[in-house]
Amino acid sequence: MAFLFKRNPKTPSELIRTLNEQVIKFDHSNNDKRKLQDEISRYLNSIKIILHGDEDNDPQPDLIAQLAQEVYQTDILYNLILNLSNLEFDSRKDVQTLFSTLLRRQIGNRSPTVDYLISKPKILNLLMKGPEIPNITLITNSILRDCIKLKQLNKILLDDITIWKFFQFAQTGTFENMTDSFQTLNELITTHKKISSQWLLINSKEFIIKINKLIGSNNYVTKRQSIKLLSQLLLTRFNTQFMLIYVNDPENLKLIMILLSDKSKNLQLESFNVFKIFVANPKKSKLISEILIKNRDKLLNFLEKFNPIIDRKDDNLFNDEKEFVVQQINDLPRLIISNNNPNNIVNINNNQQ
Amino acid sequence: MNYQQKSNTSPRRNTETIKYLDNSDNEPTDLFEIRECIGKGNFGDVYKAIELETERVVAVKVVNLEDTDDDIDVLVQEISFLSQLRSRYITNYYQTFVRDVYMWIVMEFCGGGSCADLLKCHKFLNEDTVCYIIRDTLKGLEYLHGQRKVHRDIKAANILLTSTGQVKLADFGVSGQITATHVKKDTFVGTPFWMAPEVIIRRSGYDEKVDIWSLGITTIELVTGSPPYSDHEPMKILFDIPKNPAPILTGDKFGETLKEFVKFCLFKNPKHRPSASTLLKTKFIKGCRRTFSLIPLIQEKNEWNALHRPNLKRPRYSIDDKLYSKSEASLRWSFTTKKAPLINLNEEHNRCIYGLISNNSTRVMGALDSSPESQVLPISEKYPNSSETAITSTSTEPAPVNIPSDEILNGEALHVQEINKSPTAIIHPQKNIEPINYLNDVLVYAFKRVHHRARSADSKLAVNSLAKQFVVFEKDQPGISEALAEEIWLRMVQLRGHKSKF
Repeated sequence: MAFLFKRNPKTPSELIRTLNEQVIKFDHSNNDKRKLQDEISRYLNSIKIILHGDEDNDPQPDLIAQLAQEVYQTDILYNLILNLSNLEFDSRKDVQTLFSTLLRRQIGNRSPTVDYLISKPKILNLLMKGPEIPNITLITNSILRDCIKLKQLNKILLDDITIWKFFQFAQTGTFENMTDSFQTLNELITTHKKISSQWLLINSKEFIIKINKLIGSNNYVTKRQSIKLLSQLLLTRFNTQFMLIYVNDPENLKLIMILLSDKSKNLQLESFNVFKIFVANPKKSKLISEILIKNRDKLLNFLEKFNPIIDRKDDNLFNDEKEFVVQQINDLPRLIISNNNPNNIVNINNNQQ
Repeated sequence: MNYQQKSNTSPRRNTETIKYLDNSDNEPTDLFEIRECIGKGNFGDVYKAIELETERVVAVKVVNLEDTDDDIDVLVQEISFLSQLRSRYITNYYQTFVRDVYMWIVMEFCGGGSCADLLKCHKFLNEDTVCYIIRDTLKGLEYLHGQRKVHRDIKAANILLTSTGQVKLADFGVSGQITATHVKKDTFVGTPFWMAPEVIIRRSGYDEKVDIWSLGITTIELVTGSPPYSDHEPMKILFDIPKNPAPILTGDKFGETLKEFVKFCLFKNPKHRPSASTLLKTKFIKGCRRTFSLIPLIQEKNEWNALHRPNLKRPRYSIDDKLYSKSEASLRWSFTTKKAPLINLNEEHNRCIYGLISNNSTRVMGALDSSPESQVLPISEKYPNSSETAITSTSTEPAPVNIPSDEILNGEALHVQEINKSPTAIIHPQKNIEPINYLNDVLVYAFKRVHHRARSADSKLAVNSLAKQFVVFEKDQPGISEALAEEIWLRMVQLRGHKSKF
């Protein structure tokens, strides 16, 4: 069924070669784009059938091997991504299928596609820039997320400076493009924890600035997803050093406290999950302590009424944590502003009362 | 507003010139005129709406993200998934907005209602009609399955009709994507009567063939008016469906090709069930009449509806509900900020953080300090001039936020005063200040605080009885709390306030 039409490439290798020749034709303007699109759609569809079979045929490993071999010999993957927005809507998804199937392919414990992508860094770099073009964003992101599953590729992607653009991608464009780019960013820094913890540590300063910007977004979804990502990162065991950097910056505490008193219960709950880390830190910096002390009574009052749990299941854990936080804040020294010099903070030890 | 792709042959060359559609800048209420509520579900309400720019009629699903039990990430994935589907046999996705805590999902509108609506009016449908509906539903399924998606909730209620009689599969709310690594879905989704046996047993997960079973049940539903076992308890049939032989369509009034079609769909073993593409080649589907229109049936139904079901659906949430309305502000924390936080907060937040508290003659506001014990001054009286109330900071760094002077002058300072009497007070920036209940809000409150601070049980007891006394006295001598509170406040200002230009 795959090879019914006329003038058709006979073998998988021919198919890839012909496809490659056609795809680069988008660069020359005189072609009939529509015709070219149709032709490429047919080829991609044939490739899909080789990879996944159809109703009558199961996929055949030797055909897949031939196809993969030819892919590695050419620049087809790069050319397909480069011209993705020229392809028909459904063909773009076939490109994604080609990538994801090849990425899963293993020979022994080697993954030839991973080796190939490592040898051709321009492909991954092009994929990272995918969200610059709105109508291919979901495709390139989806391919990226398939790459992220593989540790070596995840490492390369983290080191690509285009990663910083994802904080922008996560805030611009259509809803699905924004959230999809955020999802990719999320997986980039949460999938392989050892690798990402190193990255976070090296880039902590810039990362905190960028994630705080997302948390401060006006978009409720962006806010919720980014605060959730942050709390997840802070509570990951591998990220302890990053966490210590984070909880020592008073600006971070202020942002979290503002979010703690947000009207949204979900945002309150997520920010509590970050706030508790500031409070639990046994070696609070002076500035952090000062903020907590200054707000001691407000915090106690606030926490007394604080019950953002919507899902009953987590009740016990949350209540324990809340109790702990309240206890810690209760034990903070009280402060009184001196009459003559407001900068002179006098701590009154509770026990002396 | 839709993104127009540049017809440039080299997509990479001009990336800078591509304009992004910034989702957050659009208020969907400015872009759509919301008409009647046409449905509601657990996720929220569905409205008919007019897209003002194009005058296109659309359906808008309004999902309350603050209340939904679903993980927000799952909903977000669903939308990405929807946006990747385009076919004339499904209700197509247009776009999504976030407004307040609501998500507005704009979809293709189907003015002809659902096949379940048709059944309410017509009781059952003839074979020509069913053939037409099932054929186009199969085309929808063929498309979905080709995209490696399972619908998982095929039934007459989810087959919609446009006002011109086109058939479209709808409600992908619970659909899932089959991936090669995780071929089988093992979540329990669907509506019992239409559920395939393997969905219920869940021994080995399931694939797109569950939709074929449900389509068989839907065919029975359309020609008879209801799915098999519809008079049974839905929970009981969960046991019956896997246990009993597959339902069959019998009786002389049904054609042989129809009976055969239903039989094919309802093989209990999913492997024996044909694919959507194969079913499109069955005699029953091939026998569809070429010129057929659903329009008369839809019109009849609309007339019947006007008589029998005049009530519009009442939405679960009001479209005007907002969590972040302007009338409230939240708690203000005290930050002795030297610089503004890194983020751009909205104005409401700005007002929250940078309150107007002063305890020092040189510092007016901006830099904050307010332990409950600290002084609070009604700045408006002393600083009627906005230039003076503009933020000044003791530090050399720029002041954080410029608060419009009229807000300060309109009794805003009094709110601050209120807040600092009760550290957790919610600020109500309305112009008229609510009267203070001096007994509860001041004295009993203060006693509660003192009670909270008391270390020993004895002191707590003493505070308690003193508070009780005050309640009694206030009843006896109304106004005593107010007088006492004012006197204490005035005295404190005298003793502590003279340094601060009061």
